[in-house]
Amino acid sequence: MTKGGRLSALIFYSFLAASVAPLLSLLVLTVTAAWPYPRLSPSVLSWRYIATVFAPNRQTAEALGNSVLIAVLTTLLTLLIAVPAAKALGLYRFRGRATVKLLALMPLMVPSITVTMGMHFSMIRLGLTGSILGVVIIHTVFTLPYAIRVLTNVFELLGERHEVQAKMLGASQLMVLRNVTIPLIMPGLLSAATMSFIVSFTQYITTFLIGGGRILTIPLLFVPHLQSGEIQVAAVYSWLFIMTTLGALAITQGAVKKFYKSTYLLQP
Amino acid sequence: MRYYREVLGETSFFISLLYTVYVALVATVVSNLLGIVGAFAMLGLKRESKWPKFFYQLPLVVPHLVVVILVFHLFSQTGLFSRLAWRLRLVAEANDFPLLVFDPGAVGVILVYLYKQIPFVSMIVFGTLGSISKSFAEVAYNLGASRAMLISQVFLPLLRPTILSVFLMTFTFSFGAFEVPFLLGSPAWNMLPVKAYVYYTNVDLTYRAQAMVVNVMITVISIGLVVAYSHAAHLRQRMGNGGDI
Repeated sequence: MTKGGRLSALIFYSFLAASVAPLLSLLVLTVTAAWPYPRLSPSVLSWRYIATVFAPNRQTAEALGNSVLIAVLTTLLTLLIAVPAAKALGLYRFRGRATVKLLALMPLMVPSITVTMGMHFSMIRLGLTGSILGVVIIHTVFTLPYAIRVLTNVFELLGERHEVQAKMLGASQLMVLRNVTIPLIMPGLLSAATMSFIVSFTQYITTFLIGGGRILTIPLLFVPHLQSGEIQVAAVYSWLFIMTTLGALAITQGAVKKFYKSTYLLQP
Repeated sequence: MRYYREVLGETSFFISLLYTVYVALVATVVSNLLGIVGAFAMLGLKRESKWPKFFYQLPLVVPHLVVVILVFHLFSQTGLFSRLAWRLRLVAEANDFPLLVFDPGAVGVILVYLYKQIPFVSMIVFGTLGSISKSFAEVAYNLGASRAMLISQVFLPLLRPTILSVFLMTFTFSFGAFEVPFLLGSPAWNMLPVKAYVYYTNVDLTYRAQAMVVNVMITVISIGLVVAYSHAAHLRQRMGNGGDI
């Protein structure tokens, strides 16, 4: 086995290097001021580009604020719709259940550009283009499938017995929801929330079309720099992107751990 | 129906369609092959190590837009690999380095998908491998199977439904994604989603009908793939997660 083990390690770690090394190289790029052609390392290092990105006239703060606001609102809206939908799909047997389940996954499979162009017209009629609400709605279309999928699995595993028992012991609807259902689905809820946050945070073309250029988010600030070849500025935005995403992941992981430590409930 | 006839009557539509299929297919086949190799490599690791696995999955949370920059930074004519080639005296100047981004062969676009999809395929296949691994491997070993036989006769057949569904998922994504070909694709060769966008944002608003025709075609193909996917999922369920037959 040792020969196989060594080969496995070799393959695994070269793949690992291919994943991580480019990101590190991008990190170098954020502090590069000059990097003339044949050189393999930058000739002048400076904080200039990082400073440029965070300069007050760059609208980075506004874009980051918008991005986070939209991502948070999208996550809330997603959970609000996904929890009841997943519960119905996971627990109840009804006609056309398989079809609805497949339809719920559709926005994952049909390209986002197609869905967005299709919804653009309705959005214009409803006066939602160019508004935060419009962007939140279009993002929710793409976060819902992930959330419904994760939560449907959770409900399928849990079954209904805990809720029924609570009700038999005289709990009101609200108490069941607050003290039984939500704590039981919390891990699924958190992972659905992280997914939604990340998906919303990285949307470009949907925000661009529905926001009509009036709603500025980080991806919208970032793409023009990519097109104009200002790669250093783009690299700084990239790291801002990655750090925010990893931050969101870390918060959720922490929350899951804390939740499991504090809870006395049976784990599903 | 006039617009359908108009759009579908153009050879440029079919060229675009074939081009899209080519890009998606190459990206999917290569990423699935390497992803499966990666999954087996993970299985063969001696210690269950948490951090390396975390970093291996890192590309999953790196947005496509960022990967576009990575590819540009590494593979453009003045990118790191071009500099490396210069150092090795393979090229005399930047222009000698082959065009790998904005190129008709869509190498840049494909590289972005590979970076994102190889770890994705690995993680899913590894998940299935984890649930079938131990007992089957032991039985096969006891019966005198070699490593290669173990992989080709035991693991791969059990993995087939998983691989099929992952293949379809990655294919659909590469087929319909807009941002990557929009930013890294050749200006002369449009993949279908980009073609739809070009029609859609034309100043002449009557072109929106053509955009919608392209969109409908993309949707029809995607839905076909979804149906295939659900069949694959069904197949996987019937095989009971590959474990207890």
